[in-house]
Amino acid sequence: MQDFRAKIILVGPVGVGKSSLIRRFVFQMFSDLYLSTIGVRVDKKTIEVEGKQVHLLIWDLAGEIVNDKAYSNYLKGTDGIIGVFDLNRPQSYIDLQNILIAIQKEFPGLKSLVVGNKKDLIDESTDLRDLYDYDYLSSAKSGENVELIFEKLAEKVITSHETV
Amino acid sequence: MSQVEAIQELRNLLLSDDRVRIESQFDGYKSELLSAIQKVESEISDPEKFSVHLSKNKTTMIDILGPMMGQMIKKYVEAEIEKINEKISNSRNWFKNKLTNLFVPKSKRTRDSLSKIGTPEIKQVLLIERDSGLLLGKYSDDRDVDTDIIAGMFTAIKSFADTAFSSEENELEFIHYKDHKIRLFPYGTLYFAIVFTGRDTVVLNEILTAGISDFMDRYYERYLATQHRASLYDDISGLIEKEFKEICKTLEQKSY
Ligand SMILES: Nc1nc2c(ncn2[C@@H]2O[C@H](COP(=O)(O)OP(=O)(O)OP(=O)(O)O)[C@@H](O)[C@H]2O)c(=O)[nH]1
Ligand SMILES: [Mg+2]
Repeated sequence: MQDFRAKIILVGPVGVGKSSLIRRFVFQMFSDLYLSTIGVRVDKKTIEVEGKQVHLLIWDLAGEIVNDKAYSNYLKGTDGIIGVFDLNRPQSYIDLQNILIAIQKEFPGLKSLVVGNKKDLIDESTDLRDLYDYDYLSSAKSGENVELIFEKLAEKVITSHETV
Repeated sequence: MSQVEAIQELRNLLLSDDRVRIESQFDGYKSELLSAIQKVESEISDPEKFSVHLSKNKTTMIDILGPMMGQMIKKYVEAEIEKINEKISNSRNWFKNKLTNLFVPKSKRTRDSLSKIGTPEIKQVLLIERDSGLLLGKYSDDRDVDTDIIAGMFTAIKSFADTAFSSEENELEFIHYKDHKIRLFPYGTLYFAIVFTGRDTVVLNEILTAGISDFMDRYYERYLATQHRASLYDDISGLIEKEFKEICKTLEQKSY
């Protein structure tokens, strides 16, 4: 079986739950404490996609450094990104759109997913599709869809490599 | 980071739009806070002092902000001020933070034995893609550390440093972390990271430079011609191991 390495990045504004999603995915943990990420953190998890071992190198970029010069350097050589916003903060959705537009401009065709996080805080009856355009909803707290979003992105990445 | 940027950052941190929810309670204190920042701004002319000043005034800032912003934000501001301090005073601190958990607990063995004597000993050799930070191959004597993560972090640190000190031709070459030293050797779109303990000697450098350029002369074309990095990994790791075992031998003979 062939090993495959892929770099993926979580992007999005401050406090939307990027680090929490990674913590849940890699370490099966969650904390209500908010420890804002400083700079960059890299984690790894190996999953199996379409019979291949895929080592996902997951870069967690602090929301706070979105406007730093280094931000786009970190994005170089990335196979795919997950854009995260907080379903409870409409402003975070708008901010994410702006971040994604800037990224797509610099890295056209980059594989991406948009995820609305903190679903556990949302009233069941709310029609989210009315408010936002997204690929998946997730909750780092309950764990809902967390594995799924990483798997879906990995699939996208693998497929795009195969069709090259 | 310049002083102006630092202050701008502080402003952004404390007054950014993303914190709309607390804005209403916050308004009353905004001017107070702004004048506090301005005071700092006017008093301090160089970044080093600014950083010291910030630490000293941390509690004042937090006291102004504290009452209406609650525990969480209070902590947040504290962390942010710490962060700015760190960035200003020495970006090396940033490196150190990033490196902390990579080596520390497992390296006791090395610390006790060889570093005292000072003979350089190569612990890890990583061949890394410059942009993605993905590992292309490695030679490592330590199974406890995840070289994929280390390769990623080195790349993030390198990216950060290369941007922060914004010089095209001066790339980050050397990272010193406790008893571990890391020398980076760029080559085209790749770079080698050599982690070693002991003294950073001229002999070591010469041997490494020669060995690496020899290796890359043979290997780089092949890398460029390959579409899937995945298919290279085991192969290349084997070659790197072979090359560096030789290098280690030479090193042993030359350093006494
Ligand atoms: N209820 C709930 N809270 C969450 C969820 N995900 C994250 N949080 C909380 O939201 C806060 C921010 O989470 P982080 O994961 O640190 O956010 P981030 O996007 O990494 O933030 P930065 O590093 O500052 O960019 C923390 O207090 C988390 O506990 C979720 O799915 N549900
Ligand atoms: Mg974070």
